[in-house]
Amino acid sequence: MKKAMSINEWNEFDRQCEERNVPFDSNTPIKSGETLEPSIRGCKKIEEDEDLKTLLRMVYRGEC
Amino acid sequence: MLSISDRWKECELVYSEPPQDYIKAEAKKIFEIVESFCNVSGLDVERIEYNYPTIKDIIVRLDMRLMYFHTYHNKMNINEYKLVSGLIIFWILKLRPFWVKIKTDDTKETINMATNINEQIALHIAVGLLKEYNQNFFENGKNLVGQYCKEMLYSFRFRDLSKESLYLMFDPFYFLHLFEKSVDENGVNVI
Repeated sequence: MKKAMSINEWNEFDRQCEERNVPFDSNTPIKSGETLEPSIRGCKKIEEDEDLKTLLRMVYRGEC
Repeated sequence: MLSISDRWKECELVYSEPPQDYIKAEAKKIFEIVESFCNVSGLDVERIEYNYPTIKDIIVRLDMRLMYFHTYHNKMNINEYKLVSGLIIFWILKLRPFWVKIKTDDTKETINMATNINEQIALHIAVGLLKEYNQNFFENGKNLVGQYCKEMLYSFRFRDLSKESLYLMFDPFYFLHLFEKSVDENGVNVI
C-alpha cells in the first residue's frame, strides 16, 4: 500500500503542478469529458470479479 | 445608486436543453448500468420499468448544474465523483425513475430488490465508480465492503442526503485515488 501524502508532499505536489502549468484543483476530473463512463467500466469489472459479484448480489438481495 | 431590482437587469443568462441525441446517449449509459445491476443481482431486466421523461429530467438537471459550475465557479469542471454522486445519484434518489411491479409468487429477495430498486441502482453506479478508480477499497475484506455497501444503501433510502452531502461522502475516494496515482512507493510525487 502506498502511503498518503504528507502536508509537505502536498505542497511539493502543488509546486510541481504550478511549475508544469498543470491546472490542478480539488475538482479536476481524472479523465475529462466523461459522465457515467467510469461507472460503466467499473460495473463491467464487477461482473468479471466473481467474489465481488457474489458479495454485491447478496447485498442487493438482502441476504447479508 | 444601483437598486437591487436593477442589479441583474442587463444580465442575460439563458439555459437551453442539450440536443436530443445527447440526452439519448446519456440515457443509454444509465440503462447500461441498469443491465449490469441485473446481471449482478439476478433480477430479470425486463421487470424493471421506468419513466423516460424522468430519466430525461435527470440528464437535463445534471446539465443545468454543470452550467452552474461553469458560470458561477470560474468555468469549473467538476470531478467524476461529484458528478456521479451529487448529480446523477442524487437525482435518481430524488426523482425515482425506476420501479418493479410485484408478483404474488415473488420471493422475498425479489420483493426486497423491487422495494429498493432506485437505491440499488444508485448504489451500483457508486460501486462501479469505486471499482474503476478505487480498487484498494475492495481489498478491505468482504465483511467490511459488504457492511459499507449496506450502510450506503441504508443512507440512500432513509437519510436526508443533499447534493453537497453526497459530494462530501465521495470526496475522500477522489483524494485517495489522487494519492494512489500521485505518489510512488517511496512517497515521492510522480505527477
